[in-house]
Amino acid sequence: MVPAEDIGVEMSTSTKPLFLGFLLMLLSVGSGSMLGQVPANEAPSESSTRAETIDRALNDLGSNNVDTRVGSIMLLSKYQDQRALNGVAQGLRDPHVRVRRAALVSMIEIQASMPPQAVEPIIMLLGDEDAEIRRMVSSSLGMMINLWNTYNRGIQLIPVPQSMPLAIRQRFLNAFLDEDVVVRRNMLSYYFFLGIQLPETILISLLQNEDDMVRLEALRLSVRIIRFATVMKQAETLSVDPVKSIRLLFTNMLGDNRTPGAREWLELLLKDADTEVVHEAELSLFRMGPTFDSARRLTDLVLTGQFNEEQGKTFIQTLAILGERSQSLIDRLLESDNPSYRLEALRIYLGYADLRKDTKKILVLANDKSERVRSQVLNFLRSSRDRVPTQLVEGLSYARDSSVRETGLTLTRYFSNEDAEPLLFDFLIDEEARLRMMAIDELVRREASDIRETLHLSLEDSDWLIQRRAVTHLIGFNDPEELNYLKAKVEKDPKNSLSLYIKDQMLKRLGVQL
Amino acid sequence: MRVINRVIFLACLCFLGQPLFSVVEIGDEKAEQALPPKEVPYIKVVQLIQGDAMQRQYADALPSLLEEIRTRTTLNVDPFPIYIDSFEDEIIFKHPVLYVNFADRTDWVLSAGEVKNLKAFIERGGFLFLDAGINASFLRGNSRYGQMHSFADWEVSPEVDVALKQVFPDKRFEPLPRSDAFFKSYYAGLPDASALPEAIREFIINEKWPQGTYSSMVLKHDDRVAVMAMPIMAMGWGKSEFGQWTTRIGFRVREGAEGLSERLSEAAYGGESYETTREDGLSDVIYCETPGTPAWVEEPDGDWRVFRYYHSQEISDYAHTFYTRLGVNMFVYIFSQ
Repeated sequence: MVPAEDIGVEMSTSTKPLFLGFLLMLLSVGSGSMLGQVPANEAPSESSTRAETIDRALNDLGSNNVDTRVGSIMLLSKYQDQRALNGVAQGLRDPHVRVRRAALVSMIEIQASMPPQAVEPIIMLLGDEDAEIRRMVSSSLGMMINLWNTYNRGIQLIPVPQSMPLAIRQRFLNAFLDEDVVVRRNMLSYYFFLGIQLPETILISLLQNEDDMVRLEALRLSVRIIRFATVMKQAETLSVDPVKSIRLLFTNMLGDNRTPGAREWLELLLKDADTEVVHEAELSLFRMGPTFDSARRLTDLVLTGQFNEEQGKTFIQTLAILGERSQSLIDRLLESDNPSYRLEALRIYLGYADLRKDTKKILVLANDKSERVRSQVLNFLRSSRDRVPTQLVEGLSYARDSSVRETGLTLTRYFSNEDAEPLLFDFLIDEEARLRMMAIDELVRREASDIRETLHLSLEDSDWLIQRRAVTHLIGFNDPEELNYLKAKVEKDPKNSLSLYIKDQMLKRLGVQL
Repeated sequence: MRVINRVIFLACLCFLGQPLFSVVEIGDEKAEQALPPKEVPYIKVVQLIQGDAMQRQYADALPSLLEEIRTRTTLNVDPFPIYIDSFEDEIIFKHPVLYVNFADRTDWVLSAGEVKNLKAFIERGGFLFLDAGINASFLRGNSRYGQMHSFADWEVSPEVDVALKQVFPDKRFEPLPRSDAFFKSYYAGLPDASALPEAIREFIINEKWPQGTYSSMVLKHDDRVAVMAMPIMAMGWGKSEFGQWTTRIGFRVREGAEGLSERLSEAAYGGESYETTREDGLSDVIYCETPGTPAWVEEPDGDWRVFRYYHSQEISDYAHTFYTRLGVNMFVYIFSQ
């Protein structure tokens, strides 16, 4: 039906194979290869061979036989050739659904390589009579719209993207009401790509849709684009929707909704058969009008495991709106068995914690069973490093978790020598060699009064890392007395591995051969 | 008019525009019956990555599969694998499963220490899963090709063959029969295919993945499957840390039309051609127009067909669901052999 564009150079289908065979025979005399598949990159006249194939396929596009046209589209789509791809694009308008399908699959396959003029016809296929075609197009809308924007981004000097033509935008709107549920779902998924405003009538229709997923996604979309008033028109059906996720989302939305009637619907939802929905309604009511009494009651429910974890966490996060009145509840939640609840409560608590008055409580939290809770406390202490009292660091030095002790050690850096040194000497007997080493480094940096004796003792440490660190520092003093001390140690036991290390370091760093 | 529309092969990855939200998942009854969380994981998986672990293929894939198994089965699996860069690492003896994405190892010549350890690991009951490693030859030129197409051969890649011969010189890989218990170890059959396009649905059900089976090569030790090569996560299966699929999987299918065989047999092609081994032992000849992308095929019966690529959200969801089943089956199989 659609002839090749360059029909003028076409040969008839009957003469082409003969010509091709003859041509190949001529070309393959030297290589010994005769017929069959012709690697285009091996044949000297690659372009003519490929051009021949494309010409034949383009010619087939004009056939009355649907199969021939389908085969032609399939073959043409394999070539990154403008003529071939234009031929495929023509197939998008073919009267036979199989040809259109073949062309569409081919275009989606080659993605960004598709000819620019194919983009609009593909999007317009959203209105095709064939549901599979509409599904394919709606499923590829993200890519298609990106391509459209690429080809219509305006001129270089004024890069103002054009808006979609009215016909396309109308096609988008119609597709939201497509009879095929997959198309409707896809349209909702790609809403934010489309650049359209969904009319209220369509949104209501989607909220009333017989498909659960469509209703759920329509509700999600309504919440995201803040169309509360539209949703409220459907409150009667949404509040009794058979899908729990929809009732939950609706209930949650009501809590953020200041429109009249929201409270009445929430009170109705308190009678829902599903406890999760009931709890969501309670949370929403709390957000709408937070009082200490309701917070206390909800805290009890959270602590006794009545809420699911997500709801429990959401409730704790909202407690902050009570300000200081929430503190007694936060204290209770900090002792919850659930580490996620403790973490949420901790986040609020750290907002008002007093490092000096609450030292004991912070230490308890720094030793929490949950690593996430401990990490949160440690991050807080690091960020408040110039306010951390010495008593708190001393407490941290006894923690079971070495990362807690390490944080304590790091915090000593902000103390005066007088405050830091006793703490650092405590860290010298830490069970972790890495921490002992850090303490030595810090004492050396501070030039602590007893540091030399400490380093001498560290030469006897059970860990070779500490021994070597002590050697490094002692050599670093560049003090003849200390060098003689090391020399004496080597002479005392020259075969000791530390002696070998001392000799090596003296040679490398001072050029002294012991 | 005779319409030949047989579809044979599947799957390539492509990164089309992702939906902004609402990934439509295909319903799965077993997923509904999620078990309560397990407190202390005790089964750990060791993952080999040669070189920089940060450069591993599909970084979130294995943890998300392990999380899936932990959620859906009674296996108390730790979602976080232990990374090693060589089989010489003796930590492999502490854990029962070794996972290697074929593309995460560039040099498949095993050192003497690796041969010794891998042999001892398998002899002690360990299981080595090779993700991919059975790619057709046209996907072997570049390791990325094997991560974007699942054109599985019914023989292992030469590198894998040589590596395992170093460990067990007398053993050979063999195809995993479609009747093997693997394909019924947790999930049996295919997911509901009603959402798939009509044009490819029949093929998927009856030809591509009959009864939910898949091409795999295995090496047995003492009558036990000890090494399995099969592309799952290498196919792009896997969820992000936010629980969404990280890639969009499409189907590659073979299609024909009246007269197309003749046209293809005389068509020019710009890439190369390769032979691949079919399940029946015969060979297909694959022709590529661009490297790593099969364009059409000459089949042993003289038919020529073109490869077509189908993409849609439903197809991707379906493929992900199927690969989820294979992945879960694999772990249940390992611990129930």
